[in-house]
Amino acid sequence: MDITVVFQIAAVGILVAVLNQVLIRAGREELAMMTTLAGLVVVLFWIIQYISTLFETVQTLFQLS
Amino acid sequence: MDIIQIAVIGIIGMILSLILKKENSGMSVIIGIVVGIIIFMGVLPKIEAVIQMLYKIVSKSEVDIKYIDVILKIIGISYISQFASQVCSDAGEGAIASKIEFAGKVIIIVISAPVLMGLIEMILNLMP
Repeated sequence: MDITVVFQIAAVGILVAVLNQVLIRAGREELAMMTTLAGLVVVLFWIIQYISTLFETVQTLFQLS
Repeated sequence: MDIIQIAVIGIIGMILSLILKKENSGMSVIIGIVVGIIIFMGVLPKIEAVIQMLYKIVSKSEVDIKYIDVILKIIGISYISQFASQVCSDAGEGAIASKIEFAGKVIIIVISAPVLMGLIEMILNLMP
């Protein structure tokens, strides 16, 4: 649980944003849209495990169902 | 993890999500979620210590243990519903946030119903 995850996600976000601009300037808007979606999906898969660890921890900690 | 580390992580997360807010607003919400999770995991051992202390206090007094379980459940549910609703309102989805809050309140009422019933019966027994 350290901050490198945040930096990785920020790096992916910035990369996708730059790629987006480059593709838009090159006149391929639909490809730009695709790369944004792809970047978002990749990051979502990363953080799914973090969210599930959070909810499992809270469940065990507070004896929820 | 002391408070300075937590503050620094929060500020770094805020800056990064601001950078990403314009082009890639989805990513900035995700960064908000991850920073929230990191800070909670950092405070986790302290929360466990508080809960152990709570159990110790209760075991000394003659209060029934199930009341503390209900209290802990309510704290857990309110934490999760607050976490989710604040993330939603950060992302601009006020409607979803209020729905989550509403559902959390209903669940808390359902869980605390037996305690309320016990209280009412106790009061009725006291009445002449």
